[in-house]
Amino acid sequence: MFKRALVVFENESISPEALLYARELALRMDSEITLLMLIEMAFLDQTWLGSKRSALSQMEERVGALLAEPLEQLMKAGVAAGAALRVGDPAQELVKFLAERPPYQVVIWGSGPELPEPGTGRRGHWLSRAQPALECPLLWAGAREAGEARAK
Amino acid sequence: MSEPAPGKIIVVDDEELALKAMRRILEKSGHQVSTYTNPVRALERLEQEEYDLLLADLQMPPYIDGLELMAKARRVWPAIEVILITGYASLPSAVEAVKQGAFHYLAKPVKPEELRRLVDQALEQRRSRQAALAPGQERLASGPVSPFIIGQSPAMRRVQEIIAQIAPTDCNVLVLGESGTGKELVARALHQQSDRRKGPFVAFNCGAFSEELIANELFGHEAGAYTGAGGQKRGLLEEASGGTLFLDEIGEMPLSMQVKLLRVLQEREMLRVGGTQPIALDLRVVAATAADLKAAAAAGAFRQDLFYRLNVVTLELPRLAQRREDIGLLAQHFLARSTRRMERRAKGLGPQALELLRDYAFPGNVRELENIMERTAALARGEVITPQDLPPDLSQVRLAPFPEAEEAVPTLADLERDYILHLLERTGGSKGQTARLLGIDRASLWRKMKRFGLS
Repeated sequence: MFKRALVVFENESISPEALLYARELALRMDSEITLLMLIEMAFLDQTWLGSKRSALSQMEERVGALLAEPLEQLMKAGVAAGAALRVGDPAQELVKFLAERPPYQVVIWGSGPELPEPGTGRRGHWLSRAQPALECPLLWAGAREAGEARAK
Repeated sequence: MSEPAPGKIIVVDDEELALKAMRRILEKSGHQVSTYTNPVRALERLEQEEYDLLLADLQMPPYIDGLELMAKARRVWPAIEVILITGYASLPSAVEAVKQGAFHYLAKPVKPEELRRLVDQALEQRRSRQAALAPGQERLASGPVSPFIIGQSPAMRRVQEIIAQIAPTDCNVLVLGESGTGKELVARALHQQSDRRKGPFVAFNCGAFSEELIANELFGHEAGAYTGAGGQKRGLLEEASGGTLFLDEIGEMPLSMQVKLLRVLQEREMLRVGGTQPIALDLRVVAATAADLKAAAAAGAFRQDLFYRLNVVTLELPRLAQRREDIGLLAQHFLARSTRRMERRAKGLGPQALELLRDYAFPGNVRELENIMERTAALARGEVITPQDLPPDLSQVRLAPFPEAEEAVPTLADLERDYILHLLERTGGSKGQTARLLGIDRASLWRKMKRFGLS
C-alpha cells in the first residue's frame, strides 16, 4: 500500500513546488507526509560543547517555526503530516532516519530550484550518493516553466 | 400483499453470536445467506460473486469498518443494497451511513421483525433499480482480465506471457513490484488461469497485523486456545486449501511466523493454535513484496530457507513509469469506468492532458493513475479532458528522477579525506595523535582538514 511520502529539505531551504506536489500526492493516495529538515554540521572539532548546544537549540527553534506553516497547510487540506529535524552528515542522517521507520513509498527532494548535476565521488550531491540505499523512487520537484508541455 | 421474493444476502459481523442469529432469521424467510466475521474475507467473496444485499456491522476492529466495506463493495457491485448494523447506535453515525448511500441502519440488539422488514424493503428497492439498468451495466469490475494487467508495452506482454506459462504449474511464485503495480491482481490471474481456479483464492496482508493476529488469521484456533477464543476458528491456510493463498507484504512477516509458515510449506500440514491434530493442506502460495527480499534474506532479516521455498519463480512487475506507452490505454479505461459509474459526461482525454499524464512520474503506479482518473471524471467540465481538469500539480510542478551518482571511483583526495576522518574517529578527535599517526605535523593536518571541510 502507498502509505507514506517523505519530503527532504536541506539547510532551511523549502521549495513550494515540492510542498504542492506532496500535498496533491497525499490527497490522491490517501497517504501521510513527513517533512524532514537535514542540517549539515560537523561534531568532531573541539568547539566548546556549550556553544554546540546553544546553536542546536536555536536551530531547532528556527526550523520548527519554518516548518510550522507548511505543516499547518497540509493539515488544513486534510493530510496527516509530521516534521523532523536531523543535524549531522545529511546522507548518514537520512539513511538512519529511514532505517528507524516503516518504509516510505517515495522520497521527494524539497530544496533547491535546480535539478543537481550528476557527479562522481564526492563531487556529486550528497543525496545522489545516498540514493542506492533508498528503497523507493527519489524525485526532484521544481517549477514547470510557463507553456512547458513536457519535462525535459 | 404478495410474499416478497427471497434474495442473496451477505452478512458481516465480528460477533459470531449475532451473525448466527441473523443467519437463522434470514434463512427462515427463505433467503440465501453467506456469513463472515472478517470483512476483508467478505470483500474477497464479493469480488467473486454478486449479492443483492450486504448487511454489515459498523464497527469491526481491527478490520475495516462497515462504511468502508460498503464503499468497497459498491465499487464492484454498484447496485448492491446495504444495511449497516451497530452496537454503538448514535444519530451522527446513522446519518453518515445513510448519507453515504446505505439503505438503512439497524441498532443492536437486532429485532427479528425489524430485520425482516428492512431486508424485504431493501430487496424490493434493489429489484426496482435493477429493472432500470441496462444488461451488462451491473458489474463494473473488469472480470478475469484486470486493468492492472492491461498493457501493450513489451514489459507487460512479458508479464502476461509468464503468467500464462507458470499458472498451470503448481509452483510457488514470488511477485515483486512497487506499491500499486498490481501484485494482487497478478496473483488472481495466476489463480484464474490455473487448475485451482474452482478452489478459493484467499489474500492476506502480512504487514497489516501483529504477530498474534497473523497466527490467529492464518492458523485459526481451537475453542479455548486462549482467553477470548470462544469457539473453534478455521484459519486462512485451511480456507485456501484446494486453491491459492496470496501473502502480500511477505517481507513484513515476523521471523517467528516465518518459521511456522516454512513448516507448513514443507510438511503440507498445519496445527490450529491450541490444536494437536495436524490438518492436511493442498495449496499454492503466491507471495508478494515491494522490498528487496533477497537482500533482507542475506542480511538475516528474512529467513533464507523460506525465501528459497517461496521464490521458485519470480515475477517482477514494472513501474508504470517504465511502461509509459500503456498510460493512455489505462487512463482511457479508468476514465470510461468512472464516468459510467458516476454518470458523468467526460468521454476522452485531450492531447495536452494525455501528454501531462505521460510525462508524470507516478510513484503510486497504476493505482495512482486510477485515483487521478476517478477524481478527473468527477470534476471534469466538458466531454474532453483538458489539463485544467487534472490535479494542479501535473501542470504546475516539473518532476524528475533525482540524478544518480555516476560510478564513484575515489580520487586520492577522497581516500586522504576518508583516512584522516577514520584516524580522527579512532583517536576520539585528537588532532595531535592523528597528526602523529599520519606522520605529519599539526599545522599540516589542520590545513588538510580545512581543505576537506573537516574542521
